[in-house]
Amino acid sequence: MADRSLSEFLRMPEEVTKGNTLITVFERSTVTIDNYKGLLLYDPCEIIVKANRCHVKVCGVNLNIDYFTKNDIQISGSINKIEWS
Amino acid sequence: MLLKLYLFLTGYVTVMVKGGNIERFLNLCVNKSLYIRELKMKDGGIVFSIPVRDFRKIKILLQKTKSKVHILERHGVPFFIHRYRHRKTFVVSAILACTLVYLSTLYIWDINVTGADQYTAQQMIRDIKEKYLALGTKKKDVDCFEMEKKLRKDYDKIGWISCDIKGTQFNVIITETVSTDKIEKTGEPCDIIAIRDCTVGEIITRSGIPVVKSGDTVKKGDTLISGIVPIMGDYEALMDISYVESDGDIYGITTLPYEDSFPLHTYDKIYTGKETKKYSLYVMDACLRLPSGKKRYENYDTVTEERKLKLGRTFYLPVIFEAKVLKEYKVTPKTFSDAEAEKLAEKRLNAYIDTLKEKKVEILENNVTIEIRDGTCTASGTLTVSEPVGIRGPIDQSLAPKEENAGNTE
Repeated sequence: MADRSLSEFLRMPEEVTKGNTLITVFERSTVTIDNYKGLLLYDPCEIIVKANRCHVKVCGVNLNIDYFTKNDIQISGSINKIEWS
Repeated sequence: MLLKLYLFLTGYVTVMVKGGNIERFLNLCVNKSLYIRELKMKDGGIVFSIPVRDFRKIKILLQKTKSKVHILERHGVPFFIHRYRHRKTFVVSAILACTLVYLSTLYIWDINVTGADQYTAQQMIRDIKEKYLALGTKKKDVDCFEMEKKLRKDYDKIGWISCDIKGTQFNVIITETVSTDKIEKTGEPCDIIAIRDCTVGEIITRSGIPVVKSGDTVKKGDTLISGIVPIMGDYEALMDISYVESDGDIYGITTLPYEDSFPLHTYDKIYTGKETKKYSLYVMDACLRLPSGKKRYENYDTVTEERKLKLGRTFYLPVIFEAKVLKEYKVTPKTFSDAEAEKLAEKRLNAYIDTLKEKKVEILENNVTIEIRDGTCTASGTLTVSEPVGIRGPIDQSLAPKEENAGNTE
């Protein structure tokens, strides 16, 4: 509640104040996941990333990881599906 | 871009990691803040790029995850230097080349003039090179502001000028004044004097006292508008004298002689299509002729094309590559008929009149006649024109009211 009111008061996005996971999709070619917790599975057809409160599954063909740092990961390839579990 | 440059300078490797738990290995890399990029699956392992500094840290992680690493490619400056460490001559040459390139950036190697219309850019460049700025002058010795002042003084039709240095090129951008009747203002008291003998047609005074009136005949150097303004008191008594900067438009009626002639029998060029090229290389002022075609023609036109060697857009080097194309032509005799000759003479006269009109000269009367005699077409006569005739001149003290009058006011 305090976090919500703080982010509302400062008008800052929640991924900054609360550390929520932010997923940005560019068409079907690139997905950027900010504030992720770790990589669970890496396969050219499937990448599973541990997010803040869930797992994010990116399915597609020829999936590559452009870069990944402590905070964000960028996946590129022909993306067919993004799932939360 | 900056990141790529940083990686190139510090060096990075493309490696393949196989076996063990790949995901755990990657998560450990991230926890250690290692920068991994361009990661993809290949031949049952993962291939990625990693900076050299970070690569040294992954050995412990490989042991932990029981994986094996194999270096596929090495990129960047450290590997380049390591590869050529025994080739001392190459390294010395590379350092020497870099030093020379750096040193050459400290000098001016090209002059460019844009915006010239009434003046030609080539002529201006030649003048600048001869008078003020020889190629090879140190950039720090060039004062752009001073250059602007000097060029403005030399070329009176320049309305606006900007000089700057880009790379090794000295750039001059000018805007020429459209009309020639503008008298440049400096703020200092002056007269306006006649630049040639003429009859005053129209005089509009904005500042100063007009000395002549419409219809007067004046000679070159005569004062048209005086900068001496008497301040009169009561009873027409002279109180004081004020010196002002005279300003006004004065149009004088003058007669310009015109004469143009050309023979009726002339020659036409017919290009045969044959051409040969000659190449030369100029380094500073030294010329090196490169081997090229040795064909010689009796009659030919030469088209020269110069290419200045440059790195990037503005970093000109003192090297010019010149290609000369010699185009052969055959001479065919041609004779103008009387009608054709008259038409051509009229065309040349009209071109001359158009040039005058561009200079704000108004044609009042055209007394040019065309005559064909002894195989020559001659257009001769006079043009009566109205044109601006006033320029700044020093104050003529003889036009000042006499002292005795000034004494009477007291």
